[in-house]
Amino acid sequence: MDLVPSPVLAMLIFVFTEVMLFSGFISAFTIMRGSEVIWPPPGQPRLPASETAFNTGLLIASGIALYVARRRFANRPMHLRRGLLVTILLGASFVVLQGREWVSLLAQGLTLRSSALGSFFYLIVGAHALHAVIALGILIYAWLRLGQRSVPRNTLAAAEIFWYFVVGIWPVLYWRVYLS
Amino acid sequence: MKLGLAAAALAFSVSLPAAARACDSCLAASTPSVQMAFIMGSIFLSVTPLALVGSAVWWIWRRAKRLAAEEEAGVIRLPSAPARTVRRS
Repeated sequence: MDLVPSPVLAMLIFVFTEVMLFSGFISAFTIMRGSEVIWPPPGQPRLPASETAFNTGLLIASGIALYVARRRFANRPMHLRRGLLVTILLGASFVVLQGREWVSLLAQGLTLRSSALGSFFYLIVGAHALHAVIALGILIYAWLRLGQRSVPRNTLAAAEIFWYFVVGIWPVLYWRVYLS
Repeated sequence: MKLGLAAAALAFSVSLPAAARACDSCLAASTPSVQMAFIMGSIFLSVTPLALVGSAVWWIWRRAKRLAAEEEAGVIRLPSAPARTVRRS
């Protein structure tokens, strides 16, 4: 048996680079935020921290659901599939609610070009949303394959790592972007 | 020779501190809050890769230890499911 299976190693390396990408974003945002005297910038809406706290809860719950499903039902594909579905539904709810939030912020005048806040907000949160959508796609693929009992264990493990990354990085982004 | 060069470099940087203040957190930071942001950013970006590599090494070490213990105990692991299987009718 491999010490680190190839799909898992590849995903770990990918996740490491992604963590550094988001670290760069967060550092740049922190410096920009430090240079602003008035926050949010004049004419810009305040970010909906309390509504997003609820979304954050949904995303964390999806991570917990995946962890529990994998621990308890590793050898029972149909049970695992149900756990995976719960994860997907919670994750999809997060993405949909975040999308709704974006529509509301755009209506209030926060756009990519309206201010530094807008630029950073859509860059950071948008990059995360893109990752969340891709990770959901991978989870849906795994869920479908699990229905045919034909998903390799290591592929599932790689998908799991990617979803944990999406879940794990979000509270840091929420803290820095919404609560700063 | 090397020691002499090092001493000269140290003396130079101590006698001309302004020249040594070439980093962003000293020059670009106009206010204390920006300076603090630069410092926090530097710490964050320095610690993150170390933490990532450290956790990977720790995880691999734990896994190697577990696999060695399983091998010693004679545990046989079945291969994971094949990439393609026949659909159930």
